[in-house]
Amino acid sequence: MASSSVVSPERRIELNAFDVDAWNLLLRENHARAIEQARPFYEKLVGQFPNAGRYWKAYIEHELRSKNFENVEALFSRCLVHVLNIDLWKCYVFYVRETKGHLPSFREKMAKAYDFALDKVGLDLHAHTMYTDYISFLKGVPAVGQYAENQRITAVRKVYQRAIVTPMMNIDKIWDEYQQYEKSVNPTLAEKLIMERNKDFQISRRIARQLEQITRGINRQAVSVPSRGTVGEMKQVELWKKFIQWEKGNPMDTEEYGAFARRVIYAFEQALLCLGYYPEIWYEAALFMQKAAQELEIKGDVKQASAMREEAILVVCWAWRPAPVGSSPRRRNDGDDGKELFERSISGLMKESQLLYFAYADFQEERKLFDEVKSIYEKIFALEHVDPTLAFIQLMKFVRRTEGVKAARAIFKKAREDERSKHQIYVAHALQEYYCSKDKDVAMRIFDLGLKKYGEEPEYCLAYVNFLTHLNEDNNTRVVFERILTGGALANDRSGEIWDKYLEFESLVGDLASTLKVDSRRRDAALAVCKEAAESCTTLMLIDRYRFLNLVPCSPEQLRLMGYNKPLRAVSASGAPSAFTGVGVAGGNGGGAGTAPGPSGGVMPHRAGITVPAGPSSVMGGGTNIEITGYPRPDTTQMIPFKPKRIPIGAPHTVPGGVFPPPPAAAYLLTILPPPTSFSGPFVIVDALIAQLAKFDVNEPGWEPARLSEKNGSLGRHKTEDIKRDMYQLLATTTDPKTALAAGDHKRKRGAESDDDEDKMDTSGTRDVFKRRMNQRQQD
Amino acid sequence: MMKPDIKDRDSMYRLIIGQLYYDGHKQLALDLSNSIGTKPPPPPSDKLFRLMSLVKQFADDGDDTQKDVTMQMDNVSSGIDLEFDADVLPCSPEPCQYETIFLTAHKAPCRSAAFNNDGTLCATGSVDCSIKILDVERIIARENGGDISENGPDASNPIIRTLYDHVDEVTSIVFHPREPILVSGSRDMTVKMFDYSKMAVKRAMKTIQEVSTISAMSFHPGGEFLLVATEHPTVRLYNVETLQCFVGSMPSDQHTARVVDLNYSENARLYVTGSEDGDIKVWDGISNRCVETFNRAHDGAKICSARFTKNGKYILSSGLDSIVKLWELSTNRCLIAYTGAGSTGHQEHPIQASFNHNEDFVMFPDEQSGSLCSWDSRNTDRKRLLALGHTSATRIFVHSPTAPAFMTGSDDFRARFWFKKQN
Repeated sequence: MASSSVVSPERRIELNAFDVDAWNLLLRENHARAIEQARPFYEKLVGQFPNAGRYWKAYIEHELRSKNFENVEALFSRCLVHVLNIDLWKCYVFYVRETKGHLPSFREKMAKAYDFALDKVGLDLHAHTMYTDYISFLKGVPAVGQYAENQRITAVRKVYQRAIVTPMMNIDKIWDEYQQYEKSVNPTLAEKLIMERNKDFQISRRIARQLEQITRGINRQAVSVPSRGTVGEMKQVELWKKFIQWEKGNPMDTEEYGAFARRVIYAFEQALLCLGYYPEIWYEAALFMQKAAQELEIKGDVKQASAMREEAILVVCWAWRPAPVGSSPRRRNDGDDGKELFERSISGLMKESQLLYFAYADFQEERKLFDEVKSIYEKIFALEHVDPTLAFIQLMKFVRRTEGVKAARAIFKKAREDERSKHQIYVAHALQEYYCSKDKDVAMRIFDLGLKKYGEEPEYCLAYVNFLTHLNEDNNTRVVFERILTGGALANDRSGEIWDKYLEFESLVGDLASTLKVDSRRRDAALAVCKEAAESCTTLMLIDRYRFLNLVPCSPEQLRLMGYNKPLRAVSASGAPSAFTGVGVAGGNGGGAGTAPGPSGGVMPHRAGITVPAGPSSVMGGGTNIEITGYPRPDTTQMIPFKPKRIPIGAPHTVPGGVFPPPPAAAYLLTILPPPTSFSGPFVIVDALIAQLAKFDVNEPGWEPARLSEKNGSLGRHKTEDIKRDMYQLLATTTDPKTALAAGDHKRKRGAESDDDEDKMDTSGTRDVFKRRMNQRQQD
Repeated sequence: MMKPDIKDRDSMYRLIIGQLYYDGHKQLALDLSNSIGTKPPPPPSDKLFRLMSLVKQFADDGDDTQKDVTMQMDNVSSGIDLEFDADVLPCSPEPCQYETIFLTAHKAPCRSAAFNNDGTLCATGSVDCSIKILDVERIIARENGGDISENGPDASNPIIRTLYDHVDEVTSIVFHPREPILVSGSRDMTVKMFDYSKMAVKRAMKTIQEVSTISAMSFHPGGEFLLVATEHPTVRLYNVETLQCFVGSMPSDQHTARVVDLNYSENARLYVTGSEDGDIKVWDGISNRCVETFNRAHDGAKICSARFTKNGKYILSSGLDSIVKLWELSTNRCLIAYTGAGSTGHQEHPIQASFNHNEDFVMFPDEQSGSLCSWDSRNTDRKRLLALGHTSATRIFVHSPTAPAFMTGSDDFRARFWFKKQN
């Protein structure tokens, strides 16, 4: 019964570096050990989770316990500025207080430390202890003389006033203390001061409550891990986003843009501590900072703007990026803080997110720092296992924008030499050359160059021939087609699209002979690939010849009957699996061309694009939710179906209390059957019927059609022949006995019907009487 | 230095006493504990033995660097786990600090209640055939007097739905693990499923017709299967989509009297049933076979409740003998018994025992005195009583899985929502 898996936490961490539970276990273990032994573990821990305040705090506390103050200082310098975790900062303040008590300049240092802390994390919901500590510290400072006393009073007052305009917990207590303090200092002035501040305080209190509600569900202790798409994580992300939105809505209605911006940025920072692997949060934060910087410049509030920049610069002086402290003051331009945020993100957790790199590059380009842009791209290329193709393309675009096409060529050369890049480079560059310098020869040469290398990639060939078709160079196009298709580089099964394009091209541009030739070659190629399928799809190939965009020469039902299952698209798109595989689409790009009139009645084979749906984006962590459906399901095959019954009668069940239920199909039938009361007849008296049938003998001589006598081939007013013919016709063309009954009522041969029918039924009884009367009337 | 030495020795003695306790030498352990004076008394724990085996391994293997740390890592969760956290101090608020912050009145005794999986909603069911669904966040927000910026006059009313489809007492309620569906069982012998995502819900969307009063239900954590216990001892498993019913294949597995409580473990591998025949049975969640029976678990008294801990290693059960027991599944025995309730009088009605949200405390309402008894779950220290304020017997007691809150329902027609306010 014991469920014990024997995987140690170290092993778990090897398997999954983000296994937070395993790390926590190890943390607990190392808690008891000596710091010397635990240090490597701690280093690993904070290396893995650089923005987890909890882990830094544990490390620092451990060092503190062993009184290694230099280490503590070093650690603080590493983590403090970056990780705006309120607990970590409280730890810092506590440390300063305890250890610096003997220094002569203790008071100034302490005050500076407190101010620093309040600057950074003063906006936190739980910052109240820091404020109260600061105030009590200030109150405890000995002040001799009137001047010193006044200074002290001002200092205390400043902190109080700062506290009461910040929404946080226990703000009521602080307000009461403030009132008392003012009254103790100067009763007359106190009233006035208190009244001034009262309104602000009310606002803060209200906002504090809202803030608490909004953040209630958020788990602040969560550590940043790459998302796995679980419901819990999604919920947290949602809550954080809601919180940020709320802050953006300026709940305190501050007029000063700076204060408002600071609150929003603080919210972002807190979110990033927990959600460090979500690029959208990084990006939104950077965007907001950029916007904020601009707004501040516009409003001419240089002081605030530079204050924000100071903060941002401190942020970059963290050991993630070994940037010397002295170098930072150089970069005092607009939106520096946005830039620093980008720096942080790409150095830290989002090293692999190309989205952020590109956003960063654009951001720098906006600010005309082109060298920076280049260095950013360098960083991407330095990442070894990432495909740099997209990055090269972006870089080419950027260089073309800023330095012209010639420089872009240099980039292209570099990209070619880099063996990780793919064929898209060639396509992008050639198109760029053509569009920008209007020089098609260069473009063609580039394509040729690429063809040598990537002749086996159908997408590349497609792009090439598309380009040529656009150029209206018939001969060149044909040459290239032939090269591609007969060159042997392109495997037959992947050349389907190329064939279709060729066909389309010929039918648009060439004469019928060449079209037919291409068509037959196409069929041969198809034949070579899939023997059986090609036999049946000759007609389908013909349809391809005549269709254009979403117009086809047959109706949809006919298409379906023929097995033509290629989807029709009204607009052309690119990229589709080959027709030769039997599924999917073939066709050419009919879109842009349309210059030469096609042969009359001819339609363009058209490529319908099926874009492969993008898999769950790793950015959003939208993988399958294994967690939800990961529970072991009850295996009903090991159980017995059961239908509870109060008094189980009938088939006994092994388990007491019920019977076997009818099988599902039967149960379903039982539910759709009408109730017994809905059947109102005919009710057969079975015994009488059986008796009659038992007596029945077809060969009995006396048996004759009873009531109607035939006179001269006519029954009454009608000819027998006519009657017979009518009846047989009727029987042949109608299947419903009811219809036959209704229509052929008075013409029917009674004898043929009556003995076989349930002639004892009431309805037929009445009908008998009716018919009897009818016939009597006819005979009359 | 003497100082660190004493501390280490103290923890070693605690380990020794805990080990003795664990191995069943309860009296010996108590005597030792009293004479040495370890306070608070150490809970039963196997840690000493495991440490010893580790050391032995080291010593025997010489300097073999193969450090095969065998620790039981499976399913580390935020709950009680005596193998690892026997010495952890409780960090959650004590039950005596809870206060009633919301009261809802039915028109007849309130006999069933439930929380949903994330603790955001709770529901109460009553003899007056109605079910009320309450929004926990609104209750708490009301209490804090916060200014909730929502529109509508009923925006702050915590009772978000009232369901009226049953025709007799509602005896059991469960929430679907993920969807906004509530399932209720009743004395009118039906199990009804309500979709409460829309405002205007009144009628059940599905009904299962049973043949006797439903006594307990439990949802499979995947949300596709529902276990139903009725007056008849056979436990039924319903597939919620198709409403097909299944039972385990061995008739001798089943109880012999009414099943009073049944609950899946959180990993859905097992479920536990407690019955009036005095037995607690543990079943395999996949095959519905009974894998373990604790006969006469409460010395023949009827079982009132049985549930798993969050990590699935222990079962908390309570019986009409007013004792709450913690059973350890790996060794199949009762590890801890929390005694002291029911001292003022005999317990007439069944009532459930429950952990608090992080399993630091065990709580059990005492019928005669009308107060809530609570114990520290690890060292069985009795905590202060909390007067429940009901004027008749408390009939249902459920604690929220995520927050310091619980609901009590009583024969005095009222259901109370208790919460520990932050301060």
